[in-house]
Amino acid sequence: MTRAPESEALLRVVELTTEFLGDDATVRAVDHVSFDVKKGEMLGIVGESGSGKSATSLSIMRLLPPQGRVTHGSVELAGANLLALPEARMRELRGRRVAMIFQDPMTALNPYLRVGEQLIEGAVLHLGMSRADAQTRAAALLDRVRIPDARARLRSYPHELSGGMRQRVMIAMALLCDPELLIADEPTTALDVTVQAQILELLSELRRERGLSILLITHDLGVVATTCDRVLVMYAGRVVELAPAAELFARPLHPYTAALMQSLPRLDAKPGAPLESIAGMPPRLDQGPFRECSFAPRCRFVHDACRVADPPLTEAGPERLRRCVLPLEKLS
Amino acid sequence: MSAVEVGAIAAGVGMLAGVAWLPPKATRVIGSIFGGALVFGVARGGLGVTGGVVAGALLAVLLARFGPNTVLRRVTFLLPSLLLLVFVTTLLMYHAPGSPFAGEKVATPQVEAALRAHFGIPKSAVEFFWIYVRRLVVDGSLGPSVKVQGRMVETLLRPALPVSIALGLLSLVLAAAFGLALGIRAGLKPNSAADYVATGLSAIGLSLPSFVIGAILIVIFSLKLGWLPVAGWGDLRHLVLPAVTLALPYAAYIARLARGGTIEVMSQDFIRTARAKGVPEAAVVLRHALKGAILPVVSYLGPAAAGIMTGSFVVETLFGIPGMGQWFVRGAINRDYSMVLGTALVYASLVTAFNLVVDLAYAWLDPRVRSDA
Ligand SMILES: Nc1ncnc2c1ncn2[C@@H]1O[C@H](COP(=O)(O)OP(=O)(O)OP(=O)(O)O)[C@@H](O)[C@H]1O
Ligand code: SF4
Ligand SMILES: [Mg+2]
Repeated sequence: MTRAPESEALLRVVELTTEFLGDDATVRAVDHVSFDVKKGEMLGIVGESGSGKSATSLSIMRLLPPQGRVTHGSVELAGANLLALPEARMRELRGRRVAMIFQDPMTALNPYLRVGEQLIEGAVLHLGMSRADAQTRAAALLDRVRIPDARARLRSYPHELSGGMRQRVMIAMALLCDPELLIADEPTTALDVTVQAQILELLSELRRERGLSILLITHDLGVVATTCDRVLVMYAGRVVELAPAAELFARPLHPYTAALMQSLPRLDAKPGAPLESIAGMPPRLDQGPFRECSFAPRCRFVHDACRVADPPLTEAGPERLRRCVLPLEKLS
Repeated sequence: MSAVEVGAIAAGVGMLAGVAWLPPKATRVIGSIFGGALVFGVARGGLGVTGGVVAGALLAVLLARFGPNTVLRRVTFLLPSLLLLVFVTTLLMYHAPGSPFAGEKVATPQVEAALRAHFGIPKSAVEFFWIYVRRLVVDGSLGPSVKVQGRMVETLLRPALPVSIALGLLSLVLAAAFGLALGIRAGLKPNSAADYVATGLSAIGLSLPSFVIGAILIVIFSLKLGWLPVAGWGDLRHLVLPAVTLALPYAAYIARLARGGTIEVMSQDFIRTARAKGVPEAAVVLRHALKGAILPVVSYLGPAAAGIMTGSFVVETLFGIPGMGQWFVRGAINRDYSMVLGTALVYASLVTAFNLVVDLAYAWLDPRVRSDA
């Protein structure tokens, strides 16, 4: 496996495995997922709906719903295993060193509390600031994420803001205590295209400005292409490919990644041409370990070797990993 | 029923339907005027005509300036509903067998006619309605009681009113306090032991009628343990058992609502956001979840207050409490028309006033209602 030198990795996830206990079956939503996020790096995680992206991020934050359990692996933040921390210590860390923003900024903000009230909470809690100081800090940050008339906005309720403004508020809220790592779970999915671009641009700026590490989760390869340094592709709860963004787009080494790219709308496509999407459904995750390649039922390149066993994750060049047994030259 | 009566009811119902169709702009204006008029009517008794006018005008301005739309709409409904209430109650009383003078030995036709003229109770229901409303508006009086001679209904009700209000409020507070405590606890940990206990208690509370609960409480706390008086009136201790009796079914239902509300709110995304910020669990519940969790309970408090008011007829009788319920029951038995109408009006006003407070509370809790209603 390709790994950054110890000193550079801020977050190190090793063989993370997360399961949801259902009434009659256990769903393995995250299956031995390993990756690093370096200091100042933006790592993208892409995958279809249900591939375990949110389960991964919630496992890192230890905010899984009651049915969810991390059953294996470790999550290290600057060397300390988060999964072993007592809950009280973990709570001190949430919002302070690791912050999170979510997909739908309408439902993620509390409709009953003023924006300012929600914004300053972290600073009062973690930094021991007075309410007045926290408000000044919050207003400055709102200003930084380009919310006009920031002081006045502190008194607004979430429903009085547009979707894009709400997501900016979420970002400001996440950055209030100067965290080292920001986990953004589909931060732009609920927004329209122009606003999406603005938010991504803002995240990139803030990263450069503050040396922030970002874990950007999305099901949109297009989003990752423009903003991330490296990309992790997930399928059925597992890592199927890991590569620097530019290389991934120049040459995907896993048929699933290739298929995802094909489903992207292309600039040179004829107007009105139908988008290709990947035929078939992701496999069920409650049937125990896979005995063949998990992508086999949907793969264009499926052959006998794929049916023998579930392929391991292997190196495929410098800084590249993939989970596929097809010889590289046959992939085109 | 005569054609006039049917027509009048239809007109009243039509008026209410019309109010329902009015745009918020119109209900803001009409509601403010009605609100002012009502305050004038109530304040006149204590402050005199000038004081009444000042108080009414003040409230009208306040309503127009600050009243939430929901509140003004409710006030706009209020005046036509009260009129309809008086009219329909009048009809029911007139069409029921008997009359205030039926039992009197002296009632030769001439004497009865004289009595009817004296008390303002003519043979026609519609005429009575006009006399009653005119007296209410012009003199601000609820009329003379036929049975307690020489006394006006308002002088009879005045001492009973605080008793009923105390009983009703105490019941409501008990119901809300126990219901919320039980329901929120249960909702925070669904399917836990606390949840099963709450759900079980709530089922019992909802299925037992209040006179059974009352009887059981009297047996345990008064007869067996001797902690509380059996019945009667004097100090606060007399209020405990009746209030608990009255509150129990409402506490049970509020527990149910609070449990549902809590479960609903705790599953929302913004709760996860709060936790992701590192907010301690107690603050997550108190600051982020509580408001949303109690909203269903708050909107139920209006109907609960109405239910507790009507329930107090039974409970006041059961425990021998000198509240308005007794005047209502006596008035109905004696066909004391003014007394029945007077108690009905006072009850209706209390319930409406309470509903207004509830509307304000709701708007205060939920900023979305405040701005877009
Ligand atoms: N609370 C839960 N109970 C049971 N199963 C769950 C629960 N949450 C998620 N899962 C399952 O875990 C798997 C991964 O879900 P996850 O939410 O991580 O997907 P995702 O990649 O974030 O998808 P999306 O793009 O739709 O957000 C899915 O198969 C889902 O059905
Ligand atoms: S292992 Fe086989 S089935 Fe799986 S992705 Fe590679 S070629 Fe396709
Ligand atoms: Mg997700």
